Amino acid sequence: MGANDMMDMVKCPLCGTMNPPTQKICQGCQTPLSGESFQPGQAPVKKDTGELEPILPQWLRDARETAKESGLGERYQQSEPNQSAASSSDLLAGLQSQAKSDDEEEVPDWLANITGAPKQKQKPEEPEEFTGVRWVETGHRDDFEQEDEVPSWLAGMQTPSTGADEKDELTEWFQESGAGKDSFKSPFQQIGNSIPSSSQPKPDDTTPEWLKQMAAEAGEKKTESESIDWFSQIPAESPAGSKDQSQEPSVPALGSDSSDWLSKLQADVNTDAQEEAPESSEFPVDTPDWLRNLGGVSSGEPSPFIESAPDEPEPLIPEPGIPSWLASEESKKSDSTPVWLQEKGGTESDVPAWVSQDSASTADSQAQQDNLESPVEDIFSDLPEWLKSAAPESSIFDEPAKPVETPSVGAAGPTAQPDFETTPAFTDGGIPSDADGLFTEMPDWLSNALETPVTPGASEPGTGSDALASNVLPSWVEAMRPMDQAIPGSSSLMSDQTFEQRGALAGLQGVLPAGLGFAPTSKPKTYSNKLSVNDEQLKHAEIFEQVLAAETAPERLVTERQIGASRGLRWAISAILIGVILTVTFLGTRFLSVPIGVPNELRFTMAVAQAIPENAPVLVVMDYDASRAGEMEAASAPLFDNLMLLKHPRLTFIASNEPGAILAERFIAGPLAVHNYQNGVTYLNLGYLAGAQVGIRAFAENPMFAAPMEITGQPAWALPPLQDVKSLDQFALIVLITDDADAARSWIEQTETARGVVPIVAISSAQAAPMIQPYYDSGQVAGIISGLYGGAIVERQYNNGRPGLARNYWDAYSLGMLLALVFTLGGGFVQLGLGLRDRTASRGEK
Amino acid sequence: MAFSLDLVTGALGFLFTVLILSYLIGDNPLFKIAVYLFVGVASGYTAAVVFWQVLYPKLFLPTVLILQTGDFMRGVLLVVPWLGFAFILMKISPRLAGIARITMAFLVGAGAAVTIAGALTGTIIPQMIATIDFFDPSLAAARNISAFEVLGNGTILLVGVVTTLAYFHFGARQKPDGSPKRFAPIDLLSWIGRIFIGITLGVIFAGVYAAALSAMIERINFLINFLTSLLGMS
Repeated sequence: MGANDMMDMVKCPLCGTMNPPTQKICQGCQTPLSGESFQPGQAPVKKDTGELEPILPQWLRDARETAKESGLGERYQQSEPNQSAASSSDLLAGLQSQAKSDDEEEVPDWLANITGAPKQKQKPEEPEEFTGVRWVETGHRDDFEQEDEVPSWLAGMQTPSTGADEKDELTEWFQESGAGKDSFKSPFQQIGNSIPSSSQPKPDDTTPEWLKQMAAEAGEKKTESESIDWFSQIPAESPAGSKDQSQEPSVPALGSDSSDWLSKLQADVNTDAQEEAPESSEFPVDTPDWLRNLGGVSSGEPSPFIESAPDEPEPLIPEPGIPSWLASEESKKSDSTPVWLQEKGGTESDVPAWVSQDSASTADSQAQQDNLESPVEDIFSDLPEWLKSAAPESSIFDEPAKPVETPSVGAAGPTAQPDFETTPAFTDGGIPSDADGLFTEMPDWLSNALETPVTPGASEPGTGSDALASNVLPSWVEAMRPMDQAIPGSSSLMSDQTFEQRGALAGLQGVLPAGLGFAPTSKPKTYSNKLSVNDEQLKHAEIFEQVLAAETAPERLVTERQIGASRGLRWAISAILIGVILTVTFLGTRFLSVPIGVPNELRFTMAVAQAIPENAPVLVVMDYDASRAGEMEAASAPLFDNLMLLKHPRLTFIASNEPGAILAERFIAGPLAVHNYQNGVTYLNLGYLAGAQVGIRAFAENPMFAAPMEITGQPAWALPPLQDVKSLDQFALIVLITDDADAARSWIEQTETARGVVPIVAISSAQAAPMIQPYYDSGQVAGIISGLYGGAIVERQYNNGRPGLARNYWDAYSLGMLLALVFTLGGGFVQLGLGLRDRTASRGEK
Repeated sequence: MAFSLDLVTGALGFLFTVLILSYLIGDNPLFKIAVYLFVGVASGYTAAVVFWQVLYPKLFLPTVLILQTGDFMRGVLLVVPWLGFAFILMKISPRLAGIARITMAFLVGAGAAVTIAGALTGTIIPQMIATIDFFDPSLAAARNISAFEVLGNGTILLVGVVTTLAYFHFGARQKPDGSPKRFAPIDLLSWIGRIFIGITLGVIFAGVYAAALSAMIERINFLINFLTSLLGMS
């Protein structure tokens, strides 16, 4: 695993397990590695933290105002479009940058180091954004272990900061700062590293005075600019001391406005940088001058940072969009170690002890680490939990590879590396005379740390009276204290800020934290999905499948062959029938005689008709369709001809269907035209009687009301045909001419009581005669003339052949009926023969 | 033959007769044209008949007369047909079609009552009495029918009625194999009833055939007369 890969690894804030960058949940404890909400104690993320400014201490506010008044704010604002860290030596610059939209770079590193919260958003896919600062923050332990470049003091700090092993690093750090080692500038160095600046603010404007004073007390030389002296020396010394800078994190460049002590540190670093080949990496364009100065070079000058391969120094070419303090790290692609940690043994005198531990001691780091594992735990026992977890594993707060009992031992080890933990952050002489005035605006925790007398020998962390106890932290630090780290076991719950995307909890965050106890503790058991069946079960399954297949298989339905008439046969029958009728009709033959016998119903009909008085009113009901006009006229014409000729009845026509009225006019004007009956004089057409049976019933009850008008619209009941007729029973005879048995039944039924003794005779079509016959047998109908057959008989027997219409049709009708009989009988015999043949054949087969 | 209205009507009658007879070769456009024309003409004719022979003389004219004379007391009864007329027209609108149910309910109710009453008094009771009277010798003598004839007719009629009714008795038991099994006497009577039903249907078919044959003969006679008259052969 290379250095870049290790840089990409994300450390779990809870258990410290290194996870791939694509991993969102810790592989060790299932704790989400990134959260999106901002909670107390959590590292600032890409959020608008402008609301936090009111709660800042007064001294910080004043410092910000001072910076703004001195023009730093403008420069800072001008540098913001570069999306850099936008940080200067002003400690509040990072807070101001939080109001920006950039999530990643606006988080002050020093704040991230304090809180220990992981970065809210990392971009491992973009190696340009990985810097040594990040490496320090995340504390990739493996980077040091594999490359064997980790100093001994860092090796001792690589123990996972989990559980009870974590120490109160901040307290120790303050205690050490009171020890007053000259070379111990690591806290400020780290602050300087954590506060990048894209601009070049002047130290007089932005650097607190107390920092300058402290730098002056340290006796370090200042850079030519306003950089902090001791901090400026770090980059200069680190390259000289680093043996393999590609494996060590580079220190971010300091701005020109850094304090003197920072500048001095830079100068030391530059000294070593001159000795070794500078790095070929280039600084981005937006790299601030203080960062360039930190490396001992300016734009266009060889970089003080040394890469492993090239010897020629390369100018720092900043890249747009990358913070300047990150650009230095960007220039060293594979180098994840800050420059300030890459110092060599030759510069220990000017480098803080904790910085002076370089990779030269890496050969012994493993052994020292093994020996210092347990003492480190003892040292950090007093640290708060959240600080333990907040501090990177390889940060300056980590315990060096020294026994706890002798933390003040200076250059431990054969390489005479400075013992950084014994190096005080602030010496007695470093505190300026006007420090009181400075500390009036400083937070309590920092003031206490400075006011505590520093005793070089009393460097035991957490035990001196001057140490700042964790319980006296300022409120604003307390507010940022990660509570999940303080409450063991709840870290995963607090850090689980999963944003619910769906379901009833959609839109909520962290409502269902994943507890430690809910994570899968073991690999789930695997069960084989192979069925273990025996032969009998297989047989049963096969039978069951066969049953199912039989149920779903289509079954052929046995249908009888549709019996239909042959087209040829049908055409042949039609041709024969039409040909015979056409021939006989065209020829007008009369070779077939009319039947002589007279049926009883016909005889009674003629008797009733001939019994009516002279000029008697006769009601004629027309209820047949036009298609039956030929038959009905041929059947009824002989009777009416006889009546009109002998009795001169006054005919009143009424129709119970729509075409009946017009058919009545056709009947009078057709077969009976010879009698010259006149409408309204000798006959009357009442027209259509609506309402079917209801209308018939109404007409039977009150004919004058049911049919007041005749067909021409004249009042019917005042006309001569209906003279002296007021009701149905006053008619002499009712003649029902119909082709519909139902119509005949309706008239018979509805006039049963109204007509009295008035006889009713039916002249029906041949198709309706069988249905009317029972009414004749019951005596309800006086007589029936059925179709052409009845008309021909009446015409021949009772009317002397008049009008002759039926006789004209009789030959064709007789032949047609004969053919029908022949065809019917012939077809029957044929079918009988076929049936007998089939039956015989079937018997033979059997 | 002079060009007259009879010639035109005769020609149209000839044409449509041929079109209808074309159905012998199957359903064809000529036959459909003739059918459509007949349906349209029949509908128009029916509408004209209903208006001129029903609405005008029985609704509009009385109303006009009442309005002219001012005798509104006579017009009280016209309120009912007018309401019925208006309600039936509500069928035009689907939203108001429910109002037409009032008129329809009245018509159906009145028609059912009239039909049932007429069937009871005009068919059922008279036919029952007539069936019994077939065995009355006095009535047979009045009709000049001999006793044997009366007995024969009455017996045939009685057997036919009973067996036919037995045929339409569909009660049956279920055999072990699930198939229905009629009661044996009922099965026998129903078999006899099938004979009577067959004979009746045969008679009806003969009557239908005779009627259709008569109509066809009339139509062919019309065609021949028209052609002979047109050609001057008659």
